[in-house]
Amino acid sequence: MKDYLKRLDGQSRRNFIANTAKACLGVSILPGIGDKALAITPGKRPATARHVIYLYMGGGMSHVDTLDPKPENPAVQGPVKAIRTSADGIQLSEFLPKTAKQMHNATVIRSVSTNQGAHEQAGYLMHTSYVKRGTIVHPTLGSWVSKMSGKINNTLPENVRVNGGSNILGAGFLESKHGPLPIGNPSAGLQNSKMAEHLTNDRFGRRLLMAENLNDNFLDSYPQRKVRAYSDLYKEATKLMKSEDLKAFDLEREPNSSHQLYGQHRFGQGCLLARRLIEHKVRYVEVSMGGWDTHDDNFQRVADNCIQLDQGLGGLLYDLERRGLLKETLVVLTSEFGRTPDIVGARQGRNHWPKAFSAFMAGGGIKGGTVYGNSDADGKEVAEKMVKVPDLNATIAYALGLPLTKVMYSPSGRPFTVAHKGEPVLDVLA
Amino acid sequence: MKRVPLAWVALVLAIATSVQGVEPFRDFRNKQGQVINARLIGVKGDQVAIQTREGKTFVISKFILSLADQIYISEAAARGDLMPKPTTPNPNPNPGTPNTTPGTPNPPTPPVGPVATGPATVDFTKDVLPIFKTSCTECHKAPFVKNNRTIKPKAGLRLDSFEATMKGSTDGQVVKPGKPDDSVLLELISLEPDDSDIMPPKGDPLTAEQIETIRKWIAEGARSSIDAAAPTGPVGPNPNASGPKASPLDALVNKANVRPLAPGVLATASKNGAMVNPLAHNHPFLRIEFVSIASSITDSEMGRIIPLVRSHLTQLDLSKTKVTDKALVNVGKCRNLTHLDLRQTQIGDDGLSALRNLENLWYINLLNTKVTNRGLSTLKEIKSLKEIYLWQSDVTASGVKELREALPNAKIIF
Repeated sequence: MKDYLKRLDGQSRRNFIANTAKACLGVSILPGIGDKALAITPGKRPATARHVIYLYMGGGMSHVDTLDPKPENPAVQGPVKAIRTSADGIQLSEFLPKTAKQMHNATVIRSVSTNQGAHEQAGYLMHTSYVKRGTIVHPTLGSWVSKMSGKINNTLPENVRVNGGSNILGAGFLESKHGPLPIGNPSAGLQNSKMAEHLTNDRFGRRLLMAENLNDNFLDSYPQRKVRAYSDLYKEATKLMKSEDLKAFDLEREPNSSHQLYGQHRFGQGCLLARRLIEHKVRYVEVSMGGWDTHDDNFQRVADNCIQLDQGLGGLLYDLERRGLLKETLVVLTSEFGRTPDIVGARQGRNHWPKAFSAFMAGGGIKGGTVYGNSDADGKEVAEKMVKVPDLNATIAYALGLPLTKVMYSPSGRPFTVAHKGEPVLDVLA
Repeated sequence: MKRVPLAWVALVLAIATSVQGVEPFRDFRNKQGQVINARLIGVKGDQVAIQTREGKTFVISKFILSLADQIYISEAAARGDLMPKPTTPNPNPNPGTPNTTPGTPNPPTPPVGPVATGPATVDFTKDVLPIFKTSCTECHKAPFVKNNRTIKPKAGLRLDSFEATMKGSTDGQVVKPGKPDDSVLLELISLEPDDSDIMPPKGDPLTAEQIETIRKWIAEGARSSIDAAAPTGPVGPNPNASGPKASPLDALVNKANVRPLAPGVLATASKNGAMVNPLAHNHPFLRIEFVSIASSITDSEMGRIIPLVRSHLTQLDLSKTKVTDKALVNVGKCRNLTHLDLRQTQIGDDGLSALRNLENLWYINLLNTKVTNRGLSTLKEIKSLKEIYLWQSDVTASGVKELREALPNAKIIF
């Protein structure tokens, strides 16, 4: 005991008070302020991308039927044909004609590989760069981006997830304000963001003031960052409620032609919302689309899915380009794993295949019209230049100018970095 | 129970090497008082190799030796008559290998990047070390035994000598000669006082003068003394296999030769909600944007901000603001401007004509502006342009065709 006491120094005492406040007052999940140094410093290097639109194909998108066709190998390819793209020598599946027209701005990584073959674990790895463990919840890449990038807008959250469904991955051990703002249905906009109808501005202001008065004594006694953050939460919410930026969420302000371009379905509308949000300087938008778990009837279902995917992605890239926004927006398309190149029996299905699959990146500093890495002739193994999930996420973080080696500690003092020590694939960056 | 002092031999790693030394045999004494008669045969960083009369060779950290021995080693290394030892054992050395490398005294790592060469004004021992001794070395000094426990320096970083400081922490070098902005040490002592990462973590933060002294010392090449040659720079293996590439922006930074603006200027410029941010941590160039307050930005706002940052402004986003052609007169004087976003503004042909002297403009976005074919004639003169966005402006296909002919390498979206 005596020894233990000796080991307590001033630092521990300070931490003790801070931790007590966190534990007893429940403020640790609330946003922190004081990230001033980060707020004005996007990172160590000038970023080539300022925004990310991350398109996540939930369920496991068949790589050979989309981004990595094998036209010379009919046993693997089945009935799907390959088509030419706007980049010489690069082919995509015939299901992606609009995307193919944007290939000159994009790169396909055909050598992504993981060892996680179950949806939940693989999705966790994809989003966080870490293998799922019982002892910690890791932050998603979007949460890291929000934490490390510093705000470039005054009111909106940095990290938004559209069509997220029941996927509850979020800020992990980071402050919860860095977790994604979930938008269940892009056409419905941001829910519960209007002031209650029976409240006047005056009455609302009085209520806030009352709450502040109640807090004052406490703030004086515990001038801690995380305690101050408590009242800042109210301020930020109020600011958003009254902000002009709220109309970023309102898809009805888009002309009909935009809706046609992106498609009148949830994924297309999600992509349209993503474009509106990055125009309002949201850093990270994830748009997900399910239905890719094609154990049965793979070819018909992939074809159906691709109608939406191709329209949304193709429209997004086209629209970003003509608005001059593609230069600073990194668009990423990937999935938790690929699917077996062998066609499974009478069901015409494909099963899970994490060993080799593909990712697609465009815009924001990406070297357009290129392929990085390759799978073998069967699409089963990585033939060259394997890219692990941390490497993929490190590439995104690198393009955003984030410091890849900056260590953040979980509350229990364990060290973590933005992409789990992944090496950025510099060859895909211009 | 008395703790057995760590044995001299147990601390060292034997390596088999027979590189010929030119130093005489002498007594080396460690801090426990044990003595060994040997000669110095190599120095690398703070590792030294010594050889006994029996021909046994040891590689040891010089910090376990007495101060007198350390001074002797530093002098021997500075005379340049010792070859840096390989860190890996060399079982089959060539006895004929020359063991002197004049002119490269004790380089911790291979030279990378430029360092200051002029005369230094800040002396490590006189000016910097006292700061470390007051504020840092309580935690960052040589391992010592207290209450039967060996207390190691925190983060493996020792700031009690020049060599140790340059060696850095377990995470790598903390001082990069000539590059104060890349030096972790300077970053950590300069943080906000309530930042959880600030050093020192307890007690008063360093004063502005102290920080400036250290910055200056690093900027002048982080030398061991005023007269010493600047030690050559960083820094462990590059985490990126092929390494980041030098960009046109880097070239422009070098050419522009501007220092990062003082925080006070940035604060003044960002009054009223403008976002005025360096492109990266401590980067000299700035980006200015207005985000949610764009609709309140007028020519007078621009007239206030731009003169403050004229040589630093590289990226300017005026989209959705209320600025008119007049505001661009000021913008046209920002010689390092590379990126100009005028989306959804009232800007027209007359405004563009003020930009014709910009030599580094790469990107211009004129989406949904009043620009017509007449304005394109200005753009034709800006040969640096690589990307031009004209969708929803008043230009016509024939105007764009002429522009494409004048700027064949630019991407023109219409």
